[in-house]
Amino acid sequence: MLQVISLGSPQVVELASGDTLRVVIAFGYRGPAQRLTLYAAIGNLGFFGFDEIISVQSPLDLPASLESFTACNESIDIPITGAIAPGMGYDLMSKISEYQSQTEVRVADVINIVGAPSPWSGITSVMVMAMMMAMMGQFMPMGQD
Amino acid sequence: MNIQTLQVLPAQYPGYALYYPLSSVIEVRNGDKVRITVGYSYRGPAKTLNLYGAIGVQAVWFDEKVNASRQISLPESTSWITRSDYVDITIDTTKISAGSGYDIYAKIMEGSSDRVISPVVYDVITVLSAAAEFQNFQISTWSKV
Repeated sequence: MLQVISLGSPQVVELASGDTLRVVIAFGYRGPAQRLTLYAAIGNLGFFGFDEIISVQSPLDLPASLESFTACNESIDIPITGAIAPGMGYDLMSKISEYQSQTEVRVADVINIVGAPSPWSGITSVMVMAMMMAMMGQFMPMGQD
Repeated sequence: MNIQTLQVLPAQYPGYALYYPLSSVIEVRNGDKVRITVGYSYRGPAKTLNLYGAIGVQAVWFDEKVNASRQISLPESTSWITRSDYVDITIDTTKISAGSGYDIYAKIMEGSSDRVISPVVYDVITVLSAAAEFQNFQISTWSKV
């Protein structure tokens, strides 16, 4: 199968909790009319596959196209929730669940999540600092009487 | 020798046959059978010959995609007798891909020798795809909405 790819840098989208990302998927379809499942996720592409953080799915009605390929453009919205931590370089994945091996595609490093860092992460840093200082205090004399 | 009629024996409905006028295009799916009925005149000794039919594309030569043959028994006759016989060709989409404009022809063979060949009937078979196929599946755009 011939795949045409863009050699330019992919567009990076900045999102925050509460935003919605619209993903548009294009493909040619040949086969009977049927209802399938369009699936999309934001996550991290790693050595062991795609680690999904937020995923959505929606019904996809494909038309009967028995003789030739019909061009299809479908979109799916991914709501950004607090489940995904602020960070850069998240990846995007989409597929038709019933035909995963034929359809799964990924785009790397295209989503940045912006926003205030979690208050828990600040508390954790303070706690670590405090523990380190306490440990240092045990080994280092603070003053001579 | 001429191709007289075409019928489809659908795999989905065993025991049924669909009749088509010769000028119409027949749509078939994987597992269906196309029955080619030929008419011819015969004079000669009693013989057992093979009626052979093929579906393919007529170019410089006939590029056969699927074919079948069937034994026919001809009675001894000192005068010309008019006969008709048929051969069933099974549609196997691993050999003939989905598409339109396929041609057919038939012939009577004695051993490996062609005794009589019918004219080619053009653009009469369309093979429909039953399985879902996807082409160039890709994430085309992603944006905040």
